[in-house]
Amino acid sequence: MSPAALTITEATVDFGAGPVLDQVSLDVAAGEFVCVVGASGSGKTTLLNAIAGLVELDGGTVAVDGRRVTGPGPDRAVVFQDDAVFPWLSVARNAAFGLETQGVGKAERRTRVTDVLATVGLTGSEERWPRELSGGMRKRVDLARALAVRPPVLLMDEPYGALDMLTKERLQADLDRIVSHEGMTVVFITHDLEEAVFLADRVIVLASHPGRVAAEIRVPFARPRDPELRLTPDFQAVRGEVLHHLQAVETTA
Amino acid sequence: MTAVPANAAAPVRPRRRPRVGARRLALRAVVPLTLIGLWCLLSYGGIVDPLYLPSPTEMWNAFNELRADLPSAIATTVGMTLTGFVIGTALGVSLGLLMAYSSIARDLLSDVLDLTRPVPVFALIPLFLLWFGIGRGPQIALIALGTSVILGVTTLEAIRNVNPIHVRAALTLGASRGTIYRRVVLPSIFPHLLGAIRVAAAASWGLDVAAELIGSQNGLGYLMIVRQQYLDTAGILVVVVVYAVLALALDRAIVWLERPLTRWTHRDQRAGVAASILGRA
Ligand SMILES: Nc1ncnc2c1ncn2[C@@H]1O[C@H](COP(=O)(O)OP(=O)(O)OP(=O)(O)O)[C@@H](O)[C@H]1O
Ligand SMILES: [Mg+2]
Repeated sequence: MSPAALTITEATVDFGAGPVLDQVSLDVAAGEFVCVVGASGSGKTTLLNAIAGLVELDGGTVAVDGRRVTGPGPDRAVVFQDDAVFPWLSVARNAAFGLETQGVGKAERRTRVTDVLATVGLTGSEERWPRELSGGMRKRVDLARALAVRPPVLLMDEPYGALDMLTKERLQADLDRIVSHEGMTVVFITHDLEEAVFLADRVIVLASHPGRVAAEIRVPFARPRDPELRLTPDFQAVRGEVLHHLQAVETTA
Repeated sequence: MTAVPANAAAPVRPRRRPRVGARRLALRAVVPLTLIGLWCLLSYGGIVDPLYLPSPTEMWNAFNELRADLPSAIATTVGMTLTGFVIGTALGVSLGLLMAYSSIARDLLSDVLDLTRPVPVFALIPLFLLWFGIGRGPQIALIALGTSVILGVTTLEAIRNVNPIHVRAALTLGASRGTIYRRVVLPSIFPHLLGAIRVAAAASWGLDVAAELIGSQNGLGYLMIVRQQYLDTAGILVVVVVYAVLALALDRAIVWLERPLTRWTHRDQRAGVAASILGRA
């Protein structure tokens, strides 16, 4: 499926103790990869859930290709911050879940599951139970389940936050390759600036209390990217810029 | 995980080796053998009146006397208990699911359930007799009622504990409410239900005894009353043993049936991890 444009217009969310998101506006072009960074509690997860349709807005709108979002749906697949793999289903059945709810036929389902598991590097683990997998492999299952429905928009909430550096870098490189190849629109939340700069076309800095867009930094490197890019001065310069904005937000908050 | 550091210069507490089979077996036999020994001593030694504690020989004789009556009594009791247990389990789980699924069902039923839950089912036996008379129907109904309350309450509680992230994940993958109940809620609660199903199975034998003691013409419980009228303690004990064997068999059967359905859970592993930390004390 072709990527969709995402339009967030003055989105406001208030759980009752003052706004968590205050009139956040953000346009994400079709096929763009946007990373959102911000301090803990700045409302990153809330923003993602609002896009996913899991949190109701108290003001403003979210639209996918101009159609207003009113609830969750498979056009915006989510990889959650916490482990969301269904432990009672095998790896292959997990990956097939969205296809089954969408009524995709059995033969088609099988080829798509095989493809998506190969894409995320889980070939050979089809029949294993999630409890038999490492944390990194479980995240791959989460990703495979989301990718299998070929979502126009992919939403990811600190998916690699709990992993060691090497696993993380490998998964980042894989994600970069997959997303660039499939041409999906991605909103990716992280507090790891290197991760943000490595993955994104654009990094959004969220300020806290209330959450609002404080800065936007363009990342001028073509995707997919070489992991060695991290070591270049250009990369570190962009990372420094993001850090600078983040620090500015934190000191004024 | 179980590796011991090679440079064990530091005072590491030595890992206790699992006890060898024969020694463990001997240890496990200590209490049962002692009890049997005590039983023989008290009964054969004439220390306790056989009216209160018959000897093994007397029990064997009683068993031979009852032999002819046992098959039909067992058939009646097993049929009734299993029927009540299966109906009650299905009813309880369905009601729990229905109350979680539909707010109308919840509003209609939750107060009634909350009020009736603490009422002992055994207290209803005389009423059941009065309303429905003596016979298999009311006895099965009583067993079904008792088991359905256990399972209804457990089902509701288990549904409340379903991991919300699984529900959210299913929603974002386009699952409808019905699909979420079928494919997320049901498998999530299943391991919790199994514990309740085993408790309910044990309880259904108790309910059966109570139901039979008060009003029946056939079955193991009825056999017990008859033996009681003859002051045949050995005969009563034989029936008790039969009940115990049946209850144990049903419990084992449930465990055996559920195994393929719960292969995905951690259970065995978790026990293993806990034991490796706490020791096999
Ligand atoms: N359901 C809720 N009810 C009430 N308050 C909430 C709820 N969800 C989030 N909040 C509050 O909103 C704020 C933002 O939370 P959010 O989870 O979006 O932060 P975050 O940026 O994702 O943080 P982290 O980096 O720690 O994941 C926090 O102050 C949190 O307490
Ligand atoms: Mg968060």
